[in-house]
Amino acid sequence: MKLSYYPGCSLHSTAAEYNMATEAVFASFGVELVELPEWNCCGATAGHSTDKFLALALPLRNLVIAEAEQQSELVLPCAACYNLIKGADHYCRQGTPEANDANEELKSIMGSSYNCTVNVTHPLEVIMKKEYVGKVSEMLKKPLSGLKLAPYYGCLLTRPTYVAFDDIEQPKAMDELMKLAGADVRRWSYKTDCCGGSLTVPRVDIVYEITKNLITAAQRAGADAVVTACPLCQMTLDTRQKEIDKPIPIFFFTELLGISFGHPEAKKWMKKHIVDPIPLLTSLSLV
Amino acid sequence: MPTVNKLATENNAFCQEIMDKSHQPITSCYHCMKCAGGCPINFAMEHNNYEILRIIQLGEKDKVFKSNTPWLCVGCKTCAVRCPNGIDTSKVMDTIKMETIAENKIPASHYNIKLFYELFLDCMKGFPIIGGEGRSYELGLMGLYKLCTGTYLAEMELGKEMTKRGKMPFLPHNALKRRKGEIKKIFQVAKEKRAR
Repeated sequence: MKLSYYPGCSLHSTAAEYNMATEAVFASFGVELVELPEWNCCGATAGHSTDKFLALALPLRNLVIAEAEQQSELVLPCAACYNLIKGADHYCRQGTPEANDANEELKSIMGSSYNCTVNVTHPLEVIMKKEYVGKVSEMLKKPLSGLKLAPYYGCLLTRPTYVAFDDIEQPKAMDELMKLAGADVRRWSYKTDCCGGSLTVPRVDIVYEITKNLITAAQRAGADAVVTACPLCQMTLDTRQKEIDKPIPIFFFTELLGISFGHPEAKKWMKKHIVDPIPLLTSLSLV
Repeated sequence: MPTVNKLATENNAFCQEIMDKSHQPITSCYHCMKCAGGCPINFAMEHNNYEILRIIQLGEKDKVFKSNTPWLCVGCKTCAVRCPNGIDTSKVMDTIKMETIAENKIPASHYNIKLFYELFLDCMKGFPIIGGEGRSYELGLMGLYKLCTGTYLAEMELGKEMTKRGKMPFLPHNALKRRKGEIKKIFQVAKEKRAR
């Protein structure tokens, strides 16, 4: 089976390992992720903070392409892209004046507009479907036994309500998936707190403070690592642990799933991390 | 739209303008402070988000424009899902940022945040010779940001580590072929709309 895939800019740069692991895990499930041709950046915080038209037109252009390619589903691994593109889809379905206007403009720029036929999904949501999650137990080659994890959903995966595929205040999808993969999932109360990602360059002082709070909370909960489903959460937590005595590794959920499936490339993904996860994984005989 | 603070808005064109532009029922806010309680950045903000709503209700435009709160808002939507009156405070913050830019009244202390957003979008338009239309270009963005802010040496170590791991490609992606120019046109339309 094939699924249309929009990696987003991060997965081609700062989160290259997330791209590799996600493609590998889907391949294990028998799904080929096919990159959407000529996709563009969703505009991120820079777009929606500074220009109303860009905030809609940039994400929407990708949906026009997906529709032109006759795709009924588009899988987006980056929580920020997922949020903005799902949001553009939501506003088009609602028919707000701004969305209609952006759609009209795109029609004259691209030759076609968006007719709201694409289902925008996140890989976590896709894998939690019965046909995939039901296979996890039998696919396990290296259960993540002894790996104490704090699942971190961050902000854009569960909020606002129109993007959420899980409980907005107490999401559980990643908890359940990681438990199935054999990990020791810890309960903590920061799973949907924001990492402050968009301030990581212009106000790094604020981001250090947030990271310190998040990581110490994860450690208090007994976690030896954090698992995320967003490249911005991973980058922020992985690079901003300066004030932490013992920095902990920050994994993507597909990386850990790939490790539990015994994927031969897993070590390559681990080498891309800033906080080296190999000592922890070696101590648990996982790599 | 329910109006709790009717008196506050009767002669208040500013409040009405921000409500129209953000599509948020600002006058419905009765300051239960749930938004502020959940805000992850509140420790660094001059005003809590419900305070910004109150200042808008009172029509104190200058005070809102000078506050660091809209610029520090990261748009995490915690306020939006917890507000009992359905106000997405982050959308109000976005509107304030756009208005401040339109009136060219960005306070110097928040200038770097605006600069970062501007450069991020500039990189997406692409460059002469190396191109890169349509995608973000991390190395270019960081280089330009450092040039503009004079922070050349800050975080060099991290930049080196990222480059070593192949996380900051040297050249931008040139992904647009058949659809080349579409992103530039989108930016052109945005510029025309802003000028209107």
